[in-house]
Amino acid sequence: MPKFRMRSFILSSILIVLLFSCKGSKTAVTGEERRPLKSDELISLFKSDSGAFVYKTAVDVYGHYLSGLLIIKNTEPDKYRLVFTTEVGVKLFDFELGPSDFFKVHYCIDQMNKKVVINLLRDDFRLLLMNPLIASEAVVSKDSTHVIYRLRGKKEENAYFYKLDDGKLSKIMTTYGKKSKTKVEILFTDYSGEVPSNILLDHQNIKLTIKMSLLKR
Amino acid sequence: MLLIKKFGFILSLIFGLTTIAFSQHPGFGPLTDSVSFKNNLSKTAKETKTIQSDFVQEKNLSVLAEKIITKGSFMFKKDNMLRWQYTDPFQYLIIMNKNKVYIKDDSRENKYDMQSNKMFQEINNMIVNSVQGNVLNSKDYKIKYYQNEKYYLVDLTPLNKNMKGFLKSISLYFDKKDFTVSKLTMTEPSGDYTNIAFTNKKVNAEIPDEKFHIK
Repeated sequence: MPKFRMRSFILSSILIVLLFSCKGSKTAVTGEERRPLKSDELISLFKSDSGAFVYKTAVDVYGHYLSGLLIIKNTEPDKYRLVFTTEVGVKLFDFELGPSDFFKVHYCIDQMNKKVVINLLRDDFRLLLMNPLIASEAVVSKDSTHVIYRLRGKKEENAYFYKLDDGKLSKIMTTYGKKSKTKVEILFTDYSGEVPSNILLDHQNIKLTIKMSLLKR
Repeated sequence: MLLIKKFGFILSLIFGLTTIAFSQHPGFGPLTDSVSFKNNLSKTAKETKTIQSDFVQEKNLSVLAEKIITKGSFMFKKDNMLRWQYTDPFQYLIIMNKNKVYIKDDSRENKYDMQSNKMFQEINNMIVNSVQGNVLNSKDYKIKYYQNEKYYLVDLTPLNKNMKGFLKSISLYFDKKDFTVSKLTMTEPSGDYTNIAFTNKKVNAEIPDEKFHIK
């Protein structure tokens, strides 16, 4: 009996050590601070008064593949127009996103004009455009490579990772639930000036991936 | 009274339509002898075995101040083989061969059965019939003819509900010298439009079948 107790004690100690060391390595974070966002923080990458951004874009959704050009234009402060056309020039959708919850479908081809699809795209684009943000207050922290802003919404948390070396946004991540499960992740790479040349948006719980590469700005 | 009303209505319709027609295509007048044009076109089409050409595509979106310009090349071979390739500023290739469609972009290749996709079928029919001149006999469009000193202009308005959803009209500009399409404009229901201009046209030059091969 004592032998068994001893063993279980050792086992649980090992487990505890393992768990803590895991937790420790995961949150190598210094100086967490909760505060309101400053006016120059978490600014959309696509905020621009000098024309539109054109991305060659491929959408993979449940085995269906769709490709074309995604045009992003900042029309007024905090207002964006997103138009997706096929390579051949057929327009598939034309959305407008604004401050707070403003969202307007100017056009959508019948085959895509379903509430589920449109809401999904709307939420992805809101995240990508950082417009609107889900909170005006953030928990700001640092790890060895990034400054991280965590914004808490009603059900989800959005985290924005800015690289320490060049100050560029490298990742946006949405998590949910007590275990902080990842829902969506957007990776920004190969910056040309202030704009990422490559963007990868990946859903973890549904089969949806959007891959974008910059054609011109 | 009723007669005057009716007459007035018809008159305004006629005048209304002509003003629209002229403002839509400035510099173009109506083509009264469309029969001889159609005969010439179908004669040329019969003699056409292959066509190849470069093209510049210009997409005009009302939200954008600037146009999106893409370039590439186009090949057609009788019967029913089509190669449409964008090379600038990205790579994108479409081959239509009989009832198969092949699409390749920088990351993916896809094959489709033409029968399985209505849109491909319509697009293929439209292009092949335009090239072969049959489009003017099609019952799928309302057709209007115009001309200026350089071009015959044919305006096609789709009657079919499927096509109306994404296409308001197509304008085909046939060169008066050789009856080949020099440019075309596709207008969407929203008013956004795409211009395609064809340059370096070669008619009946040899094109190997491999260009249209679908692996």
